[in-house]
Amino acid sequence: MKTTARQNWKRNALSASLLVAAAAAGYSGLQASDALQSSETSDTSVEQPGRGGRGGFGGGNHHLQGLDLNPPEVELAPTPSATESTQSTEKVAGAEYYDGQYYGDAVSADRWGTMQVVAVIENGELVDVLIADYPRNTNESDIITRNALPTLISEAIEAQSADIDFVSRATDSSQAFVQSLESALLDAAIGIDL
Amino acid sequence: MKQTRWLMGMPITVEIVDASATAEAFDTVYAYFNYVDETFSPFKPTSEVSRVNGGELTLDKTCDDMQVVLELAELTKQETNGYFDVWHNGTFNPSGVVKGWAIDEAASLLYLQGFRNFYVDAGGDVQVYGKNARVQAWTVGICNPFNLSQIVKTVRLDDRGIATSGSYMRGAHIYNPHNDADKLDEIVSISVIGPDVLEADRFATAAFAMGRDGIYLIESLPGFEAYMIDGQGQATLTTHFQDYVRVPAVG
Repeated sequence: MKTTARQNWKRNALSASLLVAAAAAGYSGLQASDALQSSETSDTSVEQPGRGGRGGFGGGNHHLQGLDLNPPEVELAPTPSATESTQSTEKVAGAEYYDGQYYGDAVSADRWGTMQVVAVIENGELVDVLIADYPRNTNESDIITRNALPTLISEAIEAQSADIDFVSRATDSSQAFVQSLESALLDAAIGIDL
Repeated sequence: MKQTRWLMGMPITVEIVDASATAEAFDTVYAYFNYVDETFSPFKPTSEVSRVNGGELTLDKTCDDMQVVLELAELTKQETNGYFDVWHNGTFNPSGVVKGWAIDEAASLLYLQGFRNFYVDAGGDVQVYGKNARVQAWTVGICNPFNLSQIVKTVRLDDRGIATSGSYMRGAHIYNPHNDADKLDEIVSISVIGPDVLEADRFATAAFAMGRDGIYLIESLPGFEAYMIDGQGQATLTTHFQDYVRVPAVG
């Protein structure tokens, strides 16, 4: 984890291109359901606040439509060692990021673990996001009393197409993913993996 | 009328079907979520949560809403036999109850203004009231955790809450290639329908943290149903979950 001062600095330097970057990296968990709903146009407005804290998003016009809804598999990156540091001295003219690999903050995904990503920059562009750590819940099996005799039914999940009003899905770790990526991209913008 | 804004790091969507809906009604809801973010965000240094963790503020000196959240957290801790806890590794993080509580409060704000047909959706946890624009129960899709563009189950709700807890990172096949086995037994998501979104969210959070046993917790609770999806794409339903599943149109 990084110093408080460092995190404060990052809070004040939000990456406006984060959503676009995350989509380019092939991950769009936070946005996916909105793309599902985006065909509804009447009386629908999508707006962002100008800026927010960590876990919020900066300004910039983006559209939720057209994001990659089928994220490719991502390999686990090696855990960063204390001595490891990636620094690039070259920056492609006009590019937003310095080439290299940048570890994001390890971000708590509520109570079941941490999420840490590695941003891979080539030719000034985010080309991949690796996962250094991901949430794993603890398996404690004897914590509840099975006082009911449940009749639980199992079924294979299958895709349905449906006319729906909205979707229900989890956000916890995808939020952590975005926060970790955000911090990695802030490093990439200055070319130093802090 | 329907609006989506990004707050608390997630899209928050409000749809009001009632003809009396106004832009001010939406502003009220989003202003409320903004207040919640400023007070409870673990990422904002000026929030009460951050100040408690920084040692600048003791819990007994926090605001009335924090006291409500602390009571809810304590209740949830008791109801889950101590498993749910806002203290984790020495850090205070009440997010597990704040989200559902905030959605519930926001929905109450709209109800008190006279609206009867609307929903408030914060990052996939939702409180619904009344009917949708087609004058039917609200139709809720449960996302396929392995492919978020797909719906795996559709349920119909009115005057209830639904919350999903899980990890779509794992759903996206992100796992340790050197230890593939630890993926096989895990739960990728659990969706809980409850009397309101606060209750649904509290127990979805606790149930997911319990792993495979989480579904038994929900099964034991009157008025709650759940749909759990494991790492192998197998779903387990509580006994009466099917009561909410939309019957396909005939012909």
